[in-house]
Amino acid sequence: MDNERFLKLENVQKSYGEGEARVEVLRKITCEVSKGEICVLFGPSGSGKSTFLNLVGGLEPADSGSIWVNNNEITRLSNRELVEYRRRELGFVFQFYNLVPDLTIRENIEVTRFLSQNPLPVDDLLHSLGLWEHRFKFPNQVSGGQQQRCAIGRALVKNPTLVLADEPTGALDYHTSKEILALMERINQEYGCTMVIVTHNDALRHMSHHILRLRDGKLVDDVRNDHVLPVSQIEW
Amino acid sequence: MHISPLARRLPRDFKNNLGKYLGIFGLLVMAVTFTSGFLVSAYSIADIAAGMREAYNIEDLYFVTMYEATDEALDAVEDLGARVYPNFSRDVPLSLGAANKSTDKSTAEAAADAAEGAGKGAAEGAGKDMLVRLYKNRDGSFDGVAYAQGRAPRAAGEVALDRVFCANHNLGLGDTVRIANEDFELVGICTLSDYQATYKNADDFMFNATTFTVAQLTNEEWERLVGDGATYRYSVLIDDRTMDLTGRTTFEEDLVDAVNDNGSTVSDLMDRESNIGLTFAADDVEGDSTMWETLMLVLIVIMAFVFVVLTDATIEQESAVIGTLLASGYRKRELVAHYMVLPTLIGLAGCTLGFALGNTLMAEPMQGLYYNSYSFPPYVATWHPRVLVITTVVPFCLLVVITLLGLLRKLGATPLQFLRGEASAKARRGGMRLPERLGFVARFRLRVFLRNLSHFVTLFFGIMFGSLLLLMGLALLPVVSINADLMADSVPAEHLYALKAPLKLDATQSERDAWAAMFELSTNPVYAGLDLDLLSDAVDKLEEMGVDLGDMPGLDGADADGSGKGSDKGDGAAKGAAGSSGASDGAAKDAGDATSNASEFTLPPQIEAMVEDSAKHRNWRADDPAIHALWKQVAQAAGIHLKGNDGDLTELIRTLDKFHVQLHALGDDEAKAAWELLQDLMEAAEDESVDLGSLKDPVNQTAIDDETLKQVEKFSVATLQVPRRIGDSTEAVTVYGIEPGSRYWTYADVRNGHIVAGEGLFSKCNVEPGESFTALDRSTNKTYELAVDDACNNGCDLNIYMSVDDFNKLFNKSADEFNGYASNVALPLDERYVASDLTPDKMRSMADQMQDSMGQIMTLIVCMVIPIYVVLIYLLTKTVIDRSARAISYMKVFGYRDREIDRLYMRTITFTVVFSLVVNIPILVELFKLLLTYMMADYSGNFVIELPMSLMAREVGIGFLTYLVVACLHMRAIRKVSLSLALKVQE
Ligand SMILES: Nc1ncnc2c1ncn2[C@@H]1O[C@H](COP(=O)(O)OP(=O)(O)O)[C@@H](O)[C@H]1O
Ligand SMILES: [Mg+2]
Repeated sequence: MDNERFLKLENVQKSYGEGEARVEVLRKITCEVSKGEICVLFGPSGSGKSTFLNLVGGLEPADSGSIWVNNNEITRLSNRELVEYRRRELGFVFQFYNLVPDLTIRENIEVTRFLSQNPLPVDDLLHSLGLWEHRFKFPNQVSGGQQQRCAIGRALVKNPTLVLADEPTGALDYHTSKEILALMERINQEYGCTMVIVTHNDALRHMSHHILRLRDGKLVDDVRNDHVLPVSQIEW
Repeated sequence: MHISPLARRLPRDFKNNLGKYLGIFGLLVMAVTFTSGFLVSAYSIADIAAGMREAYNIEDLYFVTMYEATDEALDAVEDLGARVYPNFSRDVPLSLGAANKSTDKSTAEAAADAAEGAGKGAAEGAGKDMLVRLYKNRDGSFDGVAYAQGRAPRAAGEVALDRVFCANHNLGLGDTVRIANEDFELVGICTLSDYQATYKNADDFMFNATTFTVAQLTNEEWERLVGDGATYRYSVLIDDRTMDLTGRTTFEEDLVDAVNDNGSTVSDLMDRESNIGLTFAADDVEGDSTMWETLMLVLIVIMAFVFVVLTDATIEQESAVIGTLLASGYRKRELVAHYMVLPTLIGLAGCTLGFALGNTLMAEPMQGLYYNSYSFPPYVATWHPRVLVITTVVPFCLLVVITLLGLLRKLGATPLQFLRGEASAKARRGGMRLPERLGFVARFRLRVFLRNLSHFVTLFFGIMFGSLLLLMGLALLPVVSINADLMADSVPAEHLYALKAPLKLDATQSERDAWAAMFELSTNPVYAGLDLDLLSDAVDKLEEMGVDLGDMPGLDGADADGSGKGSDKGDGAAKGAAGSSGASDGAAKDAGDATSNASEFTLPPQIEAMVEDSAKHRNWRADDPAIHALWKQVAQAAGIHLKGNDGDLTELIRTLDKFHVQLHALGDDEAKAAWELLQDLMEAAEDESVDLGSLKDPVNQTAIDDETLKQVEKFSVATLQVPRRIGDSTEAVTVYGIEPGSRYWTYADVRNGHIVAGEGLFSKCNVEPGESFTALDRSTNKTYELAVDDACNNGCDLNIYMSVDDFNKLFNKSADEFNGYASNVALPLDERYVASDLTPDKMRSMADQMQDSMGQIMTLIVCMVIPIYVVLIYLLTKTVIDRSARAISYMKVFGYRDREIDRLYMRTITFTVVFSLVVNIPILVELFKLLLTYMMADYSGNFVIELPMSLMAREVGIGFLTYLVVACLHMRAIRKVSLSLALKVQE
């Protein structure tokens, strides 16, 4: 596998439950994402988007099939190795920010910087996230947008190769969402990390290099977007 | 009423918080089981002990007479308002032999048994001779006997023995024991109610249920084995059974007078309150109950801490749910009710189960603590609501009330605050800013610490009280042994003999003989008719008249008496030839000892006849000049010059005559024996060393060599009551009058009127150096103003020391009075004059006894405390992990290794635990001292509470080890935090 295909899924299947209650969440998913791409994953609620991210993030095992990330077949890794994989390669952004409430904004970012061999300078990051004035505040003392920026900073500070963001703007208003997406775009350009962003927002297809769409656990779209627009030019 | 939708959450809540609920449950079950188990048994045993007085007609006092008391004496005692029961006994050798379980065993088995028996004997009683004190079967009218097994002996060759002794030696009914080298069959295993703790002697420091025991025999067997060798002890039940100690003291004084006035001599008397055979066991149970109640109190405090923390954690954990419910219109009351359900149910189940277990499972081992040492009648549980209340109801109510208060307080927040997880004031305030220069890890740990501060503070106190419990289990015995050593060190000589009378040691053989004769004459009731004072009056008179008895010719009528004794009353004593007396005069003077039996002194026939006549007719007068002339003539013949006037002589003649009349009044044999004794006395009196006039003080019957005598020191003791610091009771303090510059009391400098006291006096009693205080002598009701100049010796020593001169001055005694000997060599003292023999070893053996009587309880406490400690630390630290679960889950998602998470969270907890353990050391030492001081306030003596560092290290070590167990549980919990928690939408 060449370096260009940074992320690769092959016949990945995942189901939950047993017997009657069994739900096929992902059915034979096969796809590739190249290095440095912003990849957007669309799909209605319950279509398996989060599950997709969880599998890629090594948070849950696939039932069958293989997933490669950066030349590692993570579906073969032990739990211990998966921890090292996440530590080395990944940055997570959640829909509800999931900051640690009793750590300051800065400390929340430091939580992951601690894990990295070559972290980004925290102060620079805080500046570019627009959080510098807020760095000593606690999550409940800042707005949702600021919290999400902090969450993104937390994902990026360790300079990951792959950022997995699950509906990062899902809980935010239009303006803030746009701000966040612009931030992600900038970071993608600056650091060249690969991003998989789950969203409901169709408009985002314009900012991405690669569009995936899930429906009932099946990959129904897998297209490249050669006319990427900067976020600032997208309206929805 | 339909089931509230909330109720459906209960099973899930229970499952999700299994650890927490099991913890509370376990804590309650353990605490309630142990304490209720113990207290039920202890209270029941205390009841049994208290009820024994009525049930078994236990004596109010006993007295011992030198010889069997006369009927008149006993009647006189009964006339005082009491019933008197002879309770004679004798100690005879006992051996268990080859205590065959049964006779029909195969030879091999029997041999094996024998070997086992021998092995056991070797192990337990190596070199020790066993003694059994034989008593007649008692019929229950006094000091009744409770049979645990079998029955009272009915026939020859049957015996019943004390239950504890039998248990200690594995004796069962049908076994054979050898008493005075005869085989007896064990037909009964019983408790003599005056031997609840089998003390051999009243002043022994420890009871003995391994080499000493008491037995019941049929009257015939008893008579056969004991014969004349009994100890004449009489048990007395005062008609007024409610008479208090003051009343009894007066009664006892009257009793002694009544006995002594009626031809008997009381040699010993013991009130029931001083009789350790009656009081020790019950006191022990009572003391232990106090300790367990204290323990329960500490446990309750600990549980309160735990409940506070857990309620807090529950609400925090549930804050989102509570917020949603409040926002949806639920009333606070409904929520409170909802969150009370599980703690109440768990509490009820735990307390009920604990109480049930305590009354069933624990009952047996708890009783064993006492029944293995003390002889109580068979156990009957009695119902004590107090036990249920303090061990079960209080902890349960505590759980409910604390949970309720916690809920009410916490539910004061607004729905929004709950929704945003800001229910606690701290969360609302926001966190603290931490200096940037601290590394991330340090700051993170600090955050964990700060976030959990309130729980950690609780943890600190929880550990304090948990450690206090642990320390009670660990430290009591070492403290006792430290004190035993100090007390042993405080015994300045190898032997401190307290005397009942000023026993003379440096006596000549003649003095000893004189005393022996005098003693026999004065104490044997046979001679009760003789007034020995007449004799000493006569001697005094003679001395007044210039006659030195040492110079007197031999007064020996033994030969004549033996050969020519007729049937006439006692007159033979004076028969014999008169002539020889003059001849032997010189010889007697030169070598009184050598001629002891050779010289003779007899009255001339005329006087003899006259005296005899006087006994019959009394037709002469002592002031008759003719009689005077006769006496003078006789004296002359004996080489004695009688000075003084006629009046003196008249008096002398009267006195001697009176005595003669009394002698005649005795039976033939008795008169003869008395005369022999008198002759011994006179013979001894030939020796210059003997001063018949001062023979009132006893003379030791065994000669003691000069070397030994040289190191013997006299001392005087008295007991005074001094007010204690705590409470309004008084402490019995011993006052010593010692020789200034004593070779033994080197630590007490009493020269130049100095008065010093052991350090213990100042801590136990309300006494300050240099300040005067009032002390009371209970026996005389006199008070003394005393001032102690200085402290000396150690904290176990409460004695006051002064020079013997100061002592005699203080107590108004004559200069040469004393009542004790200190010696580094064992002295062969006549037992009847020794009140006690105090040795350092006896003091040390007290520690052994404590070890025996408390060792098991202490082990039990430690065993109980360790699991409680584990649960306590577990519950108090679990919240830290629980409330951080989500953060831990994030960290896992981000790629933190488990060990890194451990380091961030567990280090903080570990630090807090270690910090608490270490910082608590000095606090614990003080708390322990305080607790023990109060627990021991009512006991006599002073405890030096010194906790050796090694002990504290052990306490901290155990504390840390229990924490390690907890830490393992927590690390497991950290590993079990699921990744999905981070992915779930936050509630
Ligand atoms: N842990 C789980 N256990 C059972 N079913 C699950 C679990 N996680 C997700 N599912 C189910 O899988 C399906 C896909 O879920 P998810 O990937 O979260 O969808 P999306 O993120 O696209 O909304 C849903 O039907 C959901 O109910
Ligand atoms: Mg989703």
